[in-house]
Amino acid sequence: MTWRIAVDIGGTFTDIVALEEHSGALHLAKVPSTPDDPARGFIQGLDHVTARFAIPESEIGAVFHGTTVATNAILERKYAPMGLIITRGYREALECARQTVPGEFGDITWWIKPPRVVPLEFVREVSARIDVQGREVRPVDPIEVRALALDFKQIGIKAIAVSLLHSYRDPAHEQAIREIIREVYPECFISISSDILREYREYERTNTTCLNTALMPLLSDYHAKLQRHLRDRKINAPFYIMRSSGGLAQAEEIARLPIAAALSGPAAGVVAATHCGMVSGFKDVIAFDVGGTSADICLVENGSPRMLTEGRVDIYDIKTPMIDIHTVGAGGGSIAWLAGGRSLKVGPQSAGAAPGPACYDRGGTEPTVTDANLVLGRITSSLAGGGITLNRDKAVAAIGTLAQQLGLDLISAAEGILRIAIENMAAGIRTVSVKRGRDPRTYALVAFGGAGPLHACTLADRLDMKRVLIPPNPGVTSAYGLLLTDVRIDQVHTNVQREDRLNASQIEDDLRTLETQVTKRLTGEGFSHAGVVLEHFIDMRYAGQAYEIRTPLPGNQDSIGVRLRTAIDHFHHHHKDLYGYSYEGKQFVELVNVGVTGLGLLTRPQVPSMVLAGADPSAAFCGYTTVHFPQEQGTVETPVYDRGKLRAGNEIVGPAIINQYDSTTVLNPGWQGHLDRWGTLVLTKAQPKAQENAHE
Amino acid sequence: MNNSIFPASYHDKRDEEEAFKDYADFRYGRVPQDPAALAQISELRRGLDPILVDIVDGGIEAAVMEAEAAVERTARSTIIREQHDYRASLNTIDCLSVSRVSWAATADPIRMKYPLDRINEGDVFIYNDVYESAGTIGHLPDYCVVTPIFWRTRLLAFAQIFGHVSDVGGRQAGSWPNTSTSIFEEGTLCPPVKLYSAGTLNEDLYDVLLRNSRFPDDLRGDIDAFVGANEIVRRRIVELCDRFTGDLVEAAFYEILDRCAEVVRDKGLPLFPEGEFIGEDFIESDGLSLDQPVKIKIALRKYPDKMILDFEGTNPQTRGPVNWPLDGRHYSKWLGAFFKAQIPGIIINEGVTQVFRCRIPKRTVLSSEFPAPVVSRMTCMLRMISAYTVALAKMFNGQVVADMQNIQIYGLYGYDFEGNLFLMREIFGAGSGARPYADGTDAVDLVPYSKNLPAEFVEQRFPVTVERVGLAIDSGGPGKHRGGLGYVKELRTLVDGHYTTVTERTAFACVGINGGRWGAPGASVKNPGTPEAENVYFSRDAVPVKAGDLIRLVTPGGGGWGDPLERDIADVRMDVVRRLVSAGSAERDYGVVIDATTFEVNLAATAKLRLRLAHERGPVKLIDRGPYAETLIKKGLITVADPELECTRCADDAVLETYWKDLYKYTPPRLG
Repeated sequence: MTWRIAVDIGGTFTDIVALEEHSGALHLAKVPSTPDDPARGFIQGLDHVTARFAIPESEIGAVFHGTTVATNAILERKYAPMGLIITRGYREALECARQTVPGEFGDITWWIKPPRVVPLEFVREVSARIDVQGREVRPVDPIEVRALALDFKQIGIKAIAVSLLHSYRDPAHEQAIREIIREVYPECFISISSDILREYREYERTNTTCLNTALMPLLSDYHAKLQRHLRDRKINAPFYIMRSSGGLAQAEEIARLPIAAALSGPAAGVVAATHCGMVSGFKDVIAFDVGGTSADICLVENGSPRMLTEGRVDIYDIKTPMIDIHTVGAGGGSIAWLAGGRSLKVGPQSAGAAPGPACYDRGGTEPTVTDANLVLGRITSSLAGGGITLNRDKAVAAIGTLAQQLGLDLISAAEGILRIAIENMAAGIRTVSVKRGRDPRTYALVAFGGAGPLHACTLADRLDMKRVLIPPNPGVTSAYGLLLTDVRIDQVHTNVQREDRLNASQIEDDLRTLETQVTKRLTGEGFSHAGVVLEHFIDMRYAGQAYEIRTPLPGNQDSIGVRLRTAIDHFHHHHKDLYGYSYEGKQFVELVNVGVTGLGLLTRPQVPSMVLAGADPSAAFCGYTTVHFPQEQGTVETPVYDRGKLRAGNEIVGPAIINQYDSTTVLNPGWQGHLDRWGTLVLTKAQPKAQENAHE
Repeated sequence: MNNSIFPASYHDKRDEEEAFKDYADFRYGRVPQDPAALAQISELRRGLDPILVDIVDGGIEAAVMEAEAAVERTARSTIIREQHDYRASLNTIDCLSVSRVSWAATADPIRMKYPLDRINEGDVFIYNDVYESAGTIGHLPDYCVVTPIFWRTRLLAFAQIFGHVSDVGGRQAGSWPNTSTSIFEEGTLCPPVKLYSAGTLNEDLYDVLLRNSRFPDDLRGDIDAFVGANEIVRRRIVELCDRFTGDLVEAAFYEILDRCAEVVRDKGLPLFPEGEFIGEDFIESDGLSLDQPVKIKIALRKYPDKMILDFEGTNPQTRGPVNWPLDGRHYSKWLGAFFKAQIPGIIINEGVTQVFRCRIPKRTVLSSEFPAPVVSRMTCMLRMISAYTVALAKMFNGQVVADMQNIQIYGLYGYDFEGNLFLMREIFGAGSGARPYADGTDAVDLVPYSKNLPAEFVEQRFPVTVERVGLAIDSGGPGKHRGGLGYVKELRTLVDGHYTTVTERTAFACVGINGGRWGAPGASVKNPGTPEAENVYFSRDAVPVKAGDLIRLVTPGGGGWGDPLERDIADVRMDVVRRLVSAGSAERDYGVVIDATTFEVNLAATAKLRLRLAHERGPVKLIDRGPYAETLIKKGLITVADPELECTRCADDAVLETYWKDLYKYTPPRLG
């Protein structure tokens, strides 16, 4: 037996999934998270699973980990004191940033700029300078650098970032500075910007490098602790951590490059949703992950999640490849309130886990989405398998106050909260679909997270989506997703060229260099050459634009000239697809970055297929409950089913409620569902005419 | 709180109905309304589901934001894309802006020119003609595109967007001559016309517009982006109508407008004490007479349920291009946007004009007449906020955010190494005003999400090197809370060329409040630190530069708030450590004696010095405008309403010599 163990640490619970590679046997567990020391929660979870399901440590073949340690450190600004070495004249570059005030017109009056990652007293300038072509203007001065390094050491700086102007052109100066620092201060953590992000735009590159450096001591500690725990238990299996890109990295890699995991939180969920869709026969899906504070939404096309090249944590723009996840402040805990005493809004403020919605009866008095669901009868008296008992009176009181202010009755007010929440979620889905030229009606909605299945049908109705998939264990989907992906490395290099003056052989050289680097890293991690897949891409824009579109560079067999031509054609097409127009034949295209993605392939676990039972779900029937469905669908006595007792092939006609340990699925009137052979609940909007089969 | 004290001269205006009568013509915009349709709408509003209104409200905001995001990604002028000088909005059929304030632009000029039966589905209108714009567009580089929205053949609304394009012709690259004396020098005028007629592009018109731009590719990209953005709004509104019917969606528009008015009246206005409060501020010059400031004066009058800003006393329209030919309706929306700070989550739309209004005398710099030049009307926008700040300071006894000037524009143009004309233009942020509870912010732009140009982008694109990007030490107005620091950027040009400045607060300073001091003005310097060093004050056209010259561009610091002698000593020390404040300023302005190398504070000497400085200075003043303004006031060249509230310590004739020396070296006075 060979087990893969996935540990996903969330704000409230740490989810663990253990999967046997050959039989597909699957075990789940949830243990409380330990925010004061996440490593403790990790190991407690691991011990819990191995003990409870009698998994010998020697049979653990690989450990996978999803962590928000880096994200939380950024949000809470918990980083080690660090220094920044920057080009002369740019000492205040972080302070100036992009001179941007977020928010609305007028907000400049009250907005306060948060502290920078490196305060000014720890920023030092060096005289070395190269120009925009990469030519040296002033060389590195070793005496100057040595003095800076010693000064940093003396004042107790533990980590140093180096970011020089135009280093994306030529990293030699940054590398030389790193060597000098290593000589005089070997124990210091160092990262240089050309390693972290070899792309132009000095503020974004510098800030990303600083965040990375600031996280290095913390992540290095965290990694060492986990490794020690694993060693203590004689677990010598490979240990992987999730990246923001949805690929995995060796844990050591994240200790060196923590920024790559800064937005990894929801990535594993998308991987799992993609997988769930593929297995059940849907390549185009929208992943819809609803937790307590937010809904995370991602468009998956032809089995691949959409990717971005930059994102944001708190106020920091971070340039690192990541899955394009759109977050909407609409979760179970989102608070309903009246702006100006008049207009009903839901979120983005959330009651979170503490005090939680009013119905948790833990001191929360403000009405939330969960309270509305309870008042409408859409959830029954408890959550998390009885872990949280719900107090309906508190929910009624909270929503009653709001109803009075709105001049509505209780049910209409609760319905109003739900409608606004659904509108917000629908806007989020539109952002990832319609806004990018995609029609959500042609996608299946994969709903998971504690509150996803609760809202899925109503949301699908709102957007006229025809199909909803609920994975087998919606509440631990993210942990499961950790088991379903490959090791991934993205390497990028800025080299701006206009299409009419292309130096194709230079691009080919760049690609070859990047390929060598990526391959070396993956083989260094133990992948055979056969187990490494390389993909090329180019970031392009119309000359004059400031944003690039990442475009694959296909056709390895063709000449580089042909490949570039094809990629430029794709770019025009892609631009039209995204923005509604292209300037093909009218304006020149600029090639900005070339890049290589390397995948180290891991074997996929088997998902066991179940034998189909009959359509009759009555073995899972538990009784009736009263549910207020949206508007004209009205109040209905609704059957309740236990998902644990549903068999593959069972069919359920809405209205219905399907309860399970970690979630509740509401099947609206007009919907019907069946459990497919892979354990996924496939819900279909009843067609007035001929009914389509959901899969195959 | 001030207890309804109105000045004697004001008594005859006290009757509210009387005061508001002047404004009847803009209550519902310029376009006459259809009473029958309105009656039907009020009938529909009676049974309107409040949740439906919220959904329509949210739907409109999402549509506008979606459209604006599309413009940011696809437009080509840096001023739109990076500096966000554009806005989308949704108008009712009678041209009231339902979405959050689009600064000025509306569909009025279309309705005023085209009868309803000539507005068809698939039409797209375009205009930039300031004087044919019904006071909705302020200068020619702002192209406005309007798309009518039909639902089942009925005209229901207009999608509208405007943005600042790179160049629309005229006598200077970038279409921004600081010294124009007529709008005809500033570019091509396009009156409201159809760019698309029932879905067909008028190619000939497009050719004319593009032919009149120095950067036709940019202009085409921008206009295409605007047309596309309006189409997004149109589609979203049609979708809302498909769900709820056009009648109910239209009824919701009017409900949303009135709701804004009621919320501002019920939640916003009660925060303002009643009475009349006067504020003024000064545009440095009209671009031609560089030593003659232009005054903007406001009287803020607060009634129980209304507020009026009266601009009586504002200077007449100018010969140079600082005029802003709008009307009270738009100024109300512009300043009304600041109510949002008091009422979180509320959307300020045209409804605000029902309870917050401006009165503008004719032919002032805020109500100029054809063909007065207007391209720098931004100065009016910004100084109006400053005058408002001074009036609010009096209204709230100093408990307001200090003054700031957060948009400075510098442009360098010439021919690059390949012989192509280039224009590198950047909008710079500056220090924001200190707050009663916190320091101002360093180097930020007034326009949300506006971005500066990365040095690595600039050096790729233009023949310059960027040698410094940073903050101007000692520029933040000293105070208990310090003003934000101004921006410094040093460019070395690699080719011969010229640079222009559209700058304010190069001589005047951002006003300190409640004992806070003025922030340092910011101007540019050619070849600083060399014997040829030369300061360039005021807005200038065409300052010549040679290859190899260094241009230091500096923007002003924000005004300080509160007595600087009360600033926490540790904060002063940290500012010195971080090189935001010099040891000299720490001593002079804050009374903190600190060693410039060890950063050690001499506490005993500090206590003594603070006492002495407080004694020498006397009680602090509410308003502190800095040396240039104080000297002009002392010499009687400008006047203020409440001199007893103003600091006068810095008046000094030598100041005028500094600023007025070589005044017309690059900008000879133009004859009318």
